[in-house]
Amino acid sequence: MENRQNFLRRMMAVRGMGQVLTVTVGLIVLCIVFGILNPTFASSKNIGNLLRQIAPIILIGIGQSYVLITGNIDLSIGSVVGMSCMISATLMTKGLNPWAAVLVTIFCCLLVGVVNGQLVAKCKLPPFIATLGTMTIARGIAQIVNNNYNTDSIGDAAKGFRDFFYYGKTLGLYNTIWISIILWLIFNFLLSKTRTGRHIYAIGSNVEAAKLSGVGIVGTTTKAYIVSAFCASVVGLIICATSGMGTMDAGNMYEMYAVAASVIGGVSTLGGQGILLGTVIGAAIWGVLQNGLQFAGAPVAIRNIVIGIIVVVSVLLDVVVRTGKPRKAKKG
Amino acid sequence: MKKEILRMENVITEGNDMTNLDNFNLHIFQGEIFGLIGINEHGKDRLVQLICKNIPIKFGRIYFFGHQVNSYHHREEIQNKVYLLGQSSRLVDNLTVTDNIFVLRKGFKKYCINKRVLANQLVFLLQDMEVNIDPRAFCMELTEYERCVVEVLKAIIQGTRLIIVDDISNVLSTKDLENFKNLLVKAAHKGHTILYFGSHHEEVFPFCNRAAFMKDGKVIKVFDKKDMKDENVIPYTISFEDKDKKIPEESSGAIYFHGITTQDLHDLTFSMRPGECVVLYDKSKKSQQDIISCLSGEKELEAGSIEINAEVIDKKNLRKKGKVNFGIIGGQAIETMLFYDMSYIDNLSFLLDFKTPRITLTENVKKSIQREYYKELGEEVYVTDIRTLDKKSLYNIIYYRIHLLNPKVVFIVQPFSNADMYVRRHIIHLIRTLKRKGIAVIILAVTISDSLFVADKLLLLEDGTVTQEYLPDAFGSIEISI
Repeated sequence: MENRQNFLRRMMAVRGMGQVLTVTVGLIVLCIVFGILNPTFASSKNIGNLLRQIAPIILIGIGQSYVLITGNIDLSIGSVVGMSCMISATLMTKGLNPWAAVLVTIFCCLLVGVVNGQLVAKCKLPPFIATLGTMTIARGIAQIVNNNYNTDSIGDAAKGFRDFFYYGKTLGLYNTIWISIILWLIFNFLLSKTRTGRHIYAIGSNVEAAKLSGVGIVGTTTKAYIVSAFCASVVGLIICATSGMGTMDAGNMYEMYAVAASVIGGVSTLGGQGILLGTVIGAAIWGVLQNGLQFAGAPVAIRNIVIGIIVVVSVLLDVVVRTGKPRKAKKG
Repeated sequence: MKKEILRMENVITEGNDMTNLDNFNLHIFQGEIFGLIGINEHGKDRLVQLICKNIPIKFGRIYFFGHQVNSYHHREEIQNKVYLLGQSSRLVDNLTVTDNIFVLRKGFKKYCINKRVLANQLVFLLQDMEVNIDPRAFCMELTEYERCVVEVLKAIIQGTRLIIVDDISNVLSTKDLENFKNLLVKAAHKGHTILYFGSHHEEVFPFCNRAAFMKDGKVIKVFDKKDMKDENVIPYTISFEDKDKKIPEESSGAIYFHGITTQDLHDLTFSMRPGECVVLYDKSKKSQQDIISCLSGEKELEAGSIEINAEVIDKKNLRKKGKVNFGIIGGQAIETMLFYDMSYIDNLSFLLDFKTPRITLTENVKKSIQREYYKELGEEVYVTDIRTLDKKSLYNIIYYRIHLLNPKVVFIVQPFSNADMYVRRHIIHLIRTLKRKGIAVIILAVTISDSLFVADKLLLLEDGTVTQEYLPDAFGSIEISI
């Protein structure tokens, strides 16, 4: 009993956990409501599909959360997804070994992350503008790699690749879900248990204090953007494996989904706050809303409006809570 | 007959579950400079708010320019004609001086702007006040002194009745502050009224017509010009003397700074012992930012080296070795040195990351630190939201973080800025604690009065080089300038 209480106390001591629990309650309520509206929503088949649908959103949410916690934003994340999808598919259709194509793709995407980090931290460009630029560039690369055409099917030679990223199952769960779980565990450890993670929080919380404390601002910010680009590249590979071809508009609007997953889950757009568990819940809410509203017969436009409203309200709450919170002064 | 600008009678205000101003009385006349020195900061912010706009009060009356504007039963919903000049600029950086002074004001009616006419008008005004600023300069290009001057001119052009100058000594160098005070005196002679907030009587007395000490939301003593003497101040100040003189006199090892050269420093050479405090007093304020930029890796050291126990740190290894050997406490430390999104213990142990080969500090290590520092810091080590702490506790985090890191040298930028008398005494105690641990302290100062309570040596810097060295016996001969 005492151990359980200690565990709960430790858990609640984690900054941002309160918000995550609140959002989790919201998620449970949504699941119950959609389950009542249409019992098919709660079927095991739908839950499996839902998890597979959520997995890529969790991944790009993780990447975006890293960047948001540093107090920046990555608008290029969706285009990097598209770039990853197109580069990998093009290389595979040209006969390159699928795993070699994966490595080349990830390397190219990481370069975008490095460029983003340098533009924002070293050249001190506003992150919105810098990543808007790289967003267009990455989308352009996605279009140019196959001469402005979607690729042909990546073929049977890439069966192993497709099974690994999408169709295969391990221990009864789709591999896509396993990839998300493993990457979440790695990046959650990196963010919450390592020096780099603490530096990422420090930069977002008070960049001046971090600088004076000897934290490398350029290096740490670049690492956050690299994580973002890596996650986007993996999502691009998943999309490539899913469709069996490269599509130029893959990852369209994903920057929006990434921000939605992060901020709904309690990651602050002002930096310095948020945990990756929240991002998972945020992504789950996004997925449940999409899926549940679809079952409820709501058109796509309504779904987008609902999600948009939730994102705006989440950000508004964060801004109000953080900027409106006065420092309690003992005197004066 | 003297014309009254501001009269506050028995004003009581409440906020944040406490009384801010407690039976507060103040009387300011036209053409005078009234100095207000806070022994503590209690009620100061509320007082400024109250003078600028008529926020509700619990008791008392406030008269502005002869009219009752606020009382416990009625208040005028207007802003008084007051200009607040503080440490941060109120000018629009991307507009010119002329635009800021003439165009950005309520009474400016013209739709088409004739820049030449306005510039000529400003030139007359500048000549009248004997200042030299380019009317066409963009405000982002101005120095802090020029910014303050432009704000005063803006206040005059706006027709404000009272200019509040709020603790600007930290943003101006000694020389600039002197010039600025002269400007205020000229403005006062022309009939403008100034309420000057300062934290030292040495800063306020020389140029104010009257001054007052404020403590716990009350004016406890008003000084007329003839009473403004150091001996009259003693009953109202607190002692900064060291009660626990256990600072090691003869520590082993020495720290040598050999020919340190940066953009604004030229061949800076001196030595110090562990546990010693050296004040680098640079009236021009130029070297401060330069040193901090080099230490934080923003700029490169041009030449020179630092030798600590036979270990040489130069520009090649400054970034790597500096993290462990040097600590930095920036200016305005409460704003620049704390992570408000982290808990107390995470803030306290932040720098330890650089000392441990582990990838992170375990919870057990953090608990051990909490236990160790509980004796000195008390329950606050367990606080999760540091926003709830008072100023002294926030300073504890900043200084004990260095205590925990235990670097060889700590550089502190203007440690006493924005601190009332009680907080200044606490900071002095914290610096002494670092010294007792054997950490060499280098204070980068543009004002020196409080620094002398902890200093073992003072180096006067001019144009980036040491021109004079003072030891404690000679501190009395230094002309204190704040």
